[in-house]
Amino acid sequence: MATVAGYKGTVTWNGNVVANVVSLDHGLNMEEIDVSANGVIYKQFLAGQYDSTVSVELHADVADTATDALYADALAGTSRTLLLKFDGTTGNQVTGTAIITSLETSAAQGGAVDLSVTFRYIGAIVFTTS
Amino acid sequence: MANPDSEIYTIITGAGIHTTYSCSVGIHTIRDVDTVVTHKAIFIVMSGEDSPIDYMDGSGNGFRRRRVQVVVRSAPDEYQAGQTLTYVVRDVLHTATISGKVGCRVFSGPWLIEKDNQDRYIWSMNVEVWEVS
Repeated sequence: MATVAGYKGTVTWNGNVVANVVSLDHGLNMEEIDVSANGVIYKQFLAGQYDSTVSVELHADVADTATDALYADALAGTSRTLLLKFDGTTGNQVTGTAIITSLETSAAQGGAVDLSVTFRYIGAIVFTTS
Repeated sequence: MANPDSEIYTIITGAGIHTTYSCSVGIHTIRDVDTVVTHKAIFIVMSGEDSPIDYMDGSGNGFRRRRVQVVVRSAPDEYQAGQTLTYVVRDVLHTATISGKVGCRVFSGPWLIEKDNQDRYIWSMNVEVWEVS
């Protein structure tokens, strides 16, 4: 895999690319099950269950279909397909069905209106690598 | 999409400041009186821009803060009239609405820079025009 410039990434919600995204964070977390027996020197673990969340920061674009949908789906608790492409085209990508667990809009006099969105994948996710 | 210096020029002339205050307005660095430029004058130049905040949406666009320096010069020995003109310019530019741009702010100044060798007072202010491009 070649190194990829971060600005090439895209976030697609329900088939529409979200405009003006300035940062993207995806986390895949796995529980660790401690199965260490008494008296052993080194602890032992089993792989547990996974959960996965995504945080996206963007400059809110009031004319963008996908951004409008984020608000509507957050309020309705609607799950959609969330696709993350880290090189924007054919490289590493993650997809799955997700819900929006938080949506925060902030405005300050010195810049654009910011929108911070947190998604949670609600089932299996699929990694595709180039 | 027009450059910010042209947009600033349009705002100032569109407000009729050059006729109300009998001054010249031009997109160029400060210069002396000639057939176009009067003593009392407004000079507009692009002064640079920060690196854009690139958007991750496949558009190739980014959020840009493009900066324009606006200089106001008084007629000789007309400090108060020059100051009045300066603040009229500041007020018309600050938070002005520009079609196709995200925002417009006078983010520093006006500052009184000097009294030149012809007794004209000179003020400067810096304007940011925000755009997605």
